[in-house]
Amino acid sequence: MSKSEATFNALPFESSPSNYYRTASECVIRVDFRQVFGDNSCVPLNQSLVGREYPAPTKYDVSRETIRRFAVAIGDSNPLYHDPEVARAAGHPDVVAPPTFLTVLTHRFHNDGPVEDPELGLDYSVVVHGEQRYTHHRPIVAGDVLSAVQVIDEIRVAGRNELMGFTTHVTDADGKPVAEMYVSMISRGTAPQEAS
Amino acid sequence: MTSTALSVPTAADVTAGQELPTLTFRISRAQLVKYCGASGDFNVIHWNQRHALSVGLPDVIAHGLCTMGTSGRVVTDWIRDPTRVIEYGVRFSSPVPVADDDTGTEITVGAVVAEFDQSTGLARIEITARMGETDVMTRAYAIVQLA
Repeated sequence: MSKSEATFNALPFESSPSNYYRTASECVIRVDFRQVFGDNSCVPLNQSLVGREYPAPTKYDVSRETIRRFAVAIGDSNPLYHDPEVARAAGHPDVVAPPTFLTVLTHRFHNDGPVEDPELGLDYSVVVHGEQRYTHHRPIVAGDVLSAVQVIDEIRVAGRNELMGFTTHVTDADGKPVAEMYVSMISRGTAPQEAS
Repeated sequence: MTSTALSVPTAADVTAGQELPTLTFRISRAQLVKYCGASGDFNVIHWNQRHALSVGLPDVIAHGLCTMGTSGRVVTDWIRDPTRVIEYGVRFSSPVPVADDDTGTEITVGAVVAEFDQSTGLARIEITARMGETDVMTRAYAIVQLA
């Protein structure tokens, strides 16, 4: 890698909107000005935390109104989200949640999860969202009382960035699995750099 | 699970290579506000233009999961019963700027049945989501259980 290329890659963003997207696989949503101004003080993520579990401190109550509000936000008028009678006629106990509804748990328990763990050393201001995946074992319906445990699956170097992937395991009031939600966060520019 | 009140596609209705109806929608500032409230994601880059510009973004940008959630309708509008979506995954490839106007940012979502297993009724659907010529999600897919 040439010195100019290395310098280019050390910048967390390009200021001109026209070349804002560096590659198809990167999406800049936060910028750390310490990097812009050359303070390369980023510390690598603590890889010893792979496997650490973060149980949510409270349950999450799924209600008709939280489902309705989420469905409205994604512009979805599917009656199974809005009308308990239609949902029952379709064989469900109550209105059902959209496939990406569990996002609400991510934010509800954000402060109790890996992203905010001071031992991890993740600087959220340089983080971009890489991947998202939901796996459902049964429908989520109004009235469900959900428990969540976030678990760090992987922490690894990806070029000059680091990747931290974690899964939220969601169970119901009987302790049975409801769904998993995988999220990967890309920590931009925090990978240990080789001396040139 | 029975879905007699809905005409859920059955295995007989599906073939590999089949295209689902294209979905086009516009993400507006108003939708971002709604998504902030509904999801609990109040990151300022999704609603504060002054802040977004100050960190070098072209404008306020949509939540990736707002785009993902809305795009998922390409599958759920077709399958009718959203609980038949067993898995849904994406990689985010480009941010979606949302200007302060009355039109919003147009996203076009396509989907095709990539694989279909007649014996299990499981279908793998590959999804594309574009803003103009730009893919905003890549490797997007859903696995659905057909009736």
